[in-house]
Amino acid sequence: MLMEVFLDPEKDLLGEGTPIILTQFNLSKAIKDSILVNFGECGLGSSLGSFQVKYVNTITKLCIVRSSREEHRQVWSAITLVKSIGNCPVILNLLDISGCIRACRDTALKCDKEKFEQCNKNLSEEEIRQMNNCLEKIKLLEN
Amino acid sequence: MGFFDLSIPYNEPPRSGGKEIAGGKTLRLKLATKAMELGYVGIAHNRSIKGVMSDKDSCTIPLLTLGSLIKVAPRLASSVGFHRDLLGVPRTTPFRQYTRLTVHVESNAQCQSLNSGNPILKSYDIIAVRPMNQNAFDYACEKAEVDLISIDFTDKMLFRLKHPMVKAAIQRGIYFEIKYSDILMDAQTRRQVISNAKLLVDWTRGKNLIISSGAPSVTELRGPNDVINLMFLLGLSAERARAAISKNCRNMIAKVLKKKRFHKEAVRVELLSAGDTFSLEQPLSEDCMKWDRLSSGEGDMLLDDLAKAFDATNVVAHKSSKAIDFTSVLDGLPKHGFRVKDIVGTESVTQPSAAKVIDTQVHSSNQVSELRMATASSDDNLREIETISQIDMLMSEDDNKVEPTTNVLKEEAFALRKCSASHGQGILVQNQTATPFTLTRCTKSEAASDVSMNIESTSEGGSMSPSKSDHGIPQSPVEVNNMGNAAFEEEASVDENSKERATTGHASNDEMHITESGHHASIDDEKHIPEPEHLTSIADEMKIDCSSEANHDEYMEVTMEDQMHETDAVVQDHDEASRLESDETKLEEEASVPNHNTFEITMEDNKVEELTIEDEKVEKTETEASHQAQVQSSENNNDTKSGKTQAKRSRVRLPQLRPFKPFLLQSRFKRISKKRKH
Repeated sequence: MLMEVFLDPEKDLLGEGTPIILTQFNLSKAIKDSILVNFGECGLGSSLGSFQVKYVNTITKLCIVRSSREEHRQVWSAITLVKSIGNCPVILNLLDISGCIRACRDTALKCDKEKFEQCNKNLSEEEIRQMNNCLEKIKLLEN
Repeated sequence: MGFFDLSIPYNEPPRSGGKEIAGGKTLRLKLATKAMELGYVGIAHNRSIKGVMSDKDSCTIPLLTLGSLIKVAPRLASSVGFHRDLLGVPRTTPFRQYTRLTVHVESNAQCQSLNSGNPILKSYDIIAVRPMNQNAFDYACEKAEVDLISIDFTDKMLFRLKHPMVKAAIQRGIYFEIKYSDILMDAQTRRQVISNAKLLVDWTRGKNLIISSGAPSVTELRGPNDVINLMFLLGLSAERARAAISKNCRNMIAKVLKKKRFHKEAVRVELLSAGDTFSLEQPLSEDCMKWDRLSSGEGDMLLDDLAKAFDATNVVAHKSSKAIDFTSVLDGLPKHGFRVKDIVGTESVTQPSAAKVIDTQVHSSNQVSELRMATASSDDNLREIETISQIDMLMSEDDNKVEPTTNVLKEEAFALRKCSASHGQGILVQNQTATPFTLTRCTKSEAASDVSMNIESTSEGGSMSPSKSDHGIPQSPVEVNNMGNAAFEEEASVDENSKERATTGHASNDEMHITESGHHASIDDEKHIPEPEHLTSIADEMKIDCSSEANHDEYMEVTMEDQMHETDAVVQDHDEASRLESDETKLEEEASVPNHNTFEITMEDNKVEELTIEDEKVEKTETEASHQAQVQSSENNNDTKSGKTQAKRSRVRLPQLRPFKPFLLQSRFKRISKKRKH
């Protein structure tokens, strides 16, 4: 039923200030464009039905994308072929793929935490709060 | 298992001798950093050459250093560890660098230069050829001495890929390369690449395929899983693609390094220090296992070093910076968050496995390792059975585990190690053959018997010293699987992979049992029971039993066994051989025999498919054998049969214990000297 792909976009410039804010809309548009270019109208049509970007964490750049089981390979290939979001070159790296949102949520929590540790920037209160929000959102993902 | 990216472009400095372009260096650095971060464990710096090669073209690629990587990405260690965990790659796997040369070949004259005598080629690790026309391609497939054929799929193909050529190349052990970064370019290139490469994929069916990035910039890199998925577009199944990016790379690199370092099948004998004592659990010596098959000698980076370097340059402790409390989210998290050391430090345990197994790759073109019994003199009490098990790299942990333990890197292509076994100890022999060895068998020698062979551990730059018999050297035990301490006669027998096997094209090993006419202390060789997963792959077995008993006549028995595909045949041979020896000598460890079986069974096939099947079998038999060995070790050692019966091999026909004589008479066993029968 659910096939979720867990993404971690990594920018070309490591660790530098992100020139672009990751939003659900941004990412979703980029992936859809990629599907259109590589798999055509039919590909887009068949995968669009169940395609959804479920969760995006702007700080750790973690995303959860959902797609159907039949089309998940195509969607995965299309995601790999994404070269840029907007005008910012990206590398989308698959971290984990799982069949249900629950498993995905758990891994997402773990990965989020680890990635957060790795960010060495001085965390402003704002960011910390955002981070907390994101975690909350993850927990709410189960539905 | 580790993933490799074997094509990071390198631009040579301008001919005027100026320094490397600054931009180029940082690009390489970034690429390497990114690759490492994405979870790759090895990269190759690729340099292209067109036209005539000159001496100037010798390898001058500077390998990247740890410090430079740290500068680019200070947080590299934790990130790398994080990704490796997700990929299932052990954290302690060193990050390797290789140098690669791609020769653009257009004319016949240039083709001719691609031979093994070319000194420029020798200075690089990996040699790749890029044919530009049909002739060149044909030549490359059939005759050229290269490791890799790299074809440019991005544009209209300049020549046709002919199926017989491709087949010939595969048989010779040459790999084909597909660059996936071309797919990531624009739509037109993508079209071309997919249509052209599909043909290659169909014909090779995934065999001998290597996938690399060839990324001109960092954005063209993709993680291993993603690449595997992309190959699906080309018609490659997931498991083949995974093999293409990991196992095939490993195989090729192992082969390349072996060719580079050693001449054919040289055997190295190690010297073990006299005072060492061995226990069953501990590895024979650190040096024994410190052969890193995939190391090119430099440029290997360990995650720990990264972490330490990072810590050294960065004073910040994570203690206070953790503001978000994750404990409510996940249990058991320390309040202060994870420190780099926590993540990385604990992983850096090198594990001396009880069974020293060094994974080796099986080459389809196996050659027999010539075992040189350096001193088959009367003094020698050699009892070692050397098993070279080639482990299929299906199990990633195996290799990765082994590599850290074999951290000392330099492997010698052949290291025949005969450990002088002190009383009750086994002998660890490492024989690195053309197919790198993995398993060393321990043999126990009698208390009375002297161990004569000295073994030099293969270590980096270790010199090869002839094996010497040394009575004074106490026998050091080799790791043994639960050997009982019954008195053994030591036998010297050496099994070698017979050349015939190689000629038969058998990837696995033929064994030659060479029992040295040195001495008779029949030593029952015991195999280490490697960790089960180690046993999964093909085991080349090198068996060296030295009989060292004074009262035994010296004999040298060389048994040439034809390599047979059937495991039972191999098992039988071993059984017979071992029986033979056991008969002569009183004791034969039961454990060794079943281990023998298991190892040998695995020896045969190189093929992935069979390996997978055998893996389970081997594992089963192995564990069983080990159990049994423990139980029965104190019992009559001659009764190896029970051990054998335990081996769950339907194909194995267990030979009878006693009537081995007929086997002796078979042409397989050729006795050089008279063997004393008691």
